Amino acid sequence: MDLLEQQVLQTLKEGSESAFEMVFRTYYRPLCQYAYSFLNDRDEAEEVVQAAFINVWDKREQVEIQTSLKAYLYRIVRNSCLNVIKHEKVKKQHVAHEMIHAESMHESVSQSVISSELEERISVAMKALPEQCRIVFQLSRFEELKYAEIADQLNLSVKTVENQIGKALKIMREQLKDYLPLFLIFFKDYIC
Amino acid sequence: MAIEFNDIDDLIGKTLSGEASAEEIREVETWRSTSAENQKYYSDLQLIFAKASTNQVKVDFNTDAAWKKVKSKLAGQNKSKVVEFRPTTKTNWQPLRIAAGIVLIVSAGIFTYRFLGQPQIQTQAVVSENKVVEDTLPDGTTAVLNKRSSITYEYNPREKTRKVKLEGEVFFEVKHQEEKPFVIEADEALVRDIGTAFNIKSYPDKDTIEVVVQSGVVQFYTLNDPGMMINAGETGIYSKRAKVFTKITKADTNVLAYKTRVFSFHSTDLRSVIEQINEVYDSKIKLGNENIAGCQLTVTFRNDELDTMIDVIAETLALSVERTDKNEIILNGQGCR
Repeated sequence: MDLLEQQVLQTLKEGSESAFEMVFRTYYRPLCQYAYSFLNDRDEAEEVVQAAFINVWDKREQVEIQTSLKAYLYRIVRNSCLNVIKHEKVKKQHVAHEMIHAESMHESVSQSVISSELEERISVAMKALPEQCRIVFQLSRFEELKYAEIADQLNLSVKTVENQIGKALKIMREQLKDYLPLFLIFFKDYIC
Repeated sequence: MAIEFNDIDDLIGKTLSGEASAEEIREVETWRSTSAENQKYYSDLQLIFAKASTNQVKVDFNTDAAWKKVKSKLAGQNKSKVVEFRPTTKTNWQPLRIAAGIVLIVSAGIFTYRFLGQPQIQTQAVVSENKVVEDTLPDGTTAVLNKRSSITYEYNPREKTRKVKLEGEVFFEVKHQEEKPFVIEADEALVRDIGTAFNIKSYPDKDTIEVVVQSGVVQFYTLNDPGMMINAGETGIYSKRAKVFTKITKADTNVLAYKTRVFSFHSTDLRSVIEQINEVYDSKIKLGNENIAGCQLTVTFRNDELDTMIDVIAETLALSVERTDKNEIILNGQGCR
């Protein structure tokens, strides 16, 4: 941990609100994005992160941080997210199922709007992925974490992460079959 | 519909994520080239993979609103730790009235000024590259520049202001003159001297700007935030990203070591002891193994020779010292605890 961070932490422990505010403002947004990868719900993500910060403040005197403040915050947010998921799993899967059902009722649209339409569908399909598969995939895409980092954070093997990403792509392709471009020619990669 | 999970999906995933080995990339290439169907399959996944991350951009989080919410829930904060100076909200119109009167006089003044010639603006620039440089500014203020630092001093006799633009790390001993304020501009942060010796660290590649006050008081602020007063023995920190000031009451005394060569370590781990010494002495002390990195040291050095310090450290932590022909000093040992 660098010296400055150690000092900020020390000041935070002594009850300095401005030190706390500095930490809050530095990490709030990235932590919310991170929580969103797990929860797929903006309000829930914010709730978890705010609760984590309030927890840090309440326990500031006891808290012993070995690695870095950043790693510590990410760890508590990750654990809270996994807890939320555990409790709400059934409910959430049901909602996701309803959503994809409703979405597939729509007729396909003209090609001029295909890309934003497709993005919407990808988003829906991603939310409907099996839980673990979705989290692994989103941590990879949203947080741009390496496979090894994802494996480490979720306590999985790297091989499992490989499988889950492959699985996510495969399932999403199946779901999106009707909305994907019909011909290769649409991709600029293959025009040249 | 049955979904089969083939290895090829994993391999494509790895390729798209940049996790695939050269061999795996070749494998995917070969698979793609075998049929138009495969090619299409690959590009479908590629498209999904690329578009998936653009979804995230739509989610935005409002830090200000969240901070207000969280702040209201904080219990038992110790506000006395930080002395914050906010402008009073009550508007005092008296100075404005006087100011309005003065504007006329000043305008007339400037008019005559123009014709009598420009005032002599004094400027001086000091740049340090790979060594610490000490210099005296025209007003008698001394400035010690750490490596990779620069200052530009400007005194405007018309405005009676002493302004310094700073990049890097500089220790100032300011000759205080009540009628000629001394203001330092470090990136977006400003430091106004109130009779003082202090150190400012503001490297462009770092998020934080730090002010350590050795004697006296300074005001540490920006144009949008009145900031805080930093007293002797305290450190003020400003985060450029978070736009927040904070204050540490127990200052890190080694901050000034580049100038004083005085180090005071209290249960500091060996790795950072070595980093700090190397920085100031331009030495190449290295850890022979990671086991000793966490060994803790409590010792004070006062402008000592490098060899003396090495001997003390080695003796205290029972380390062996090896000096290479490349001027490296390698420490080895069993590790502590």
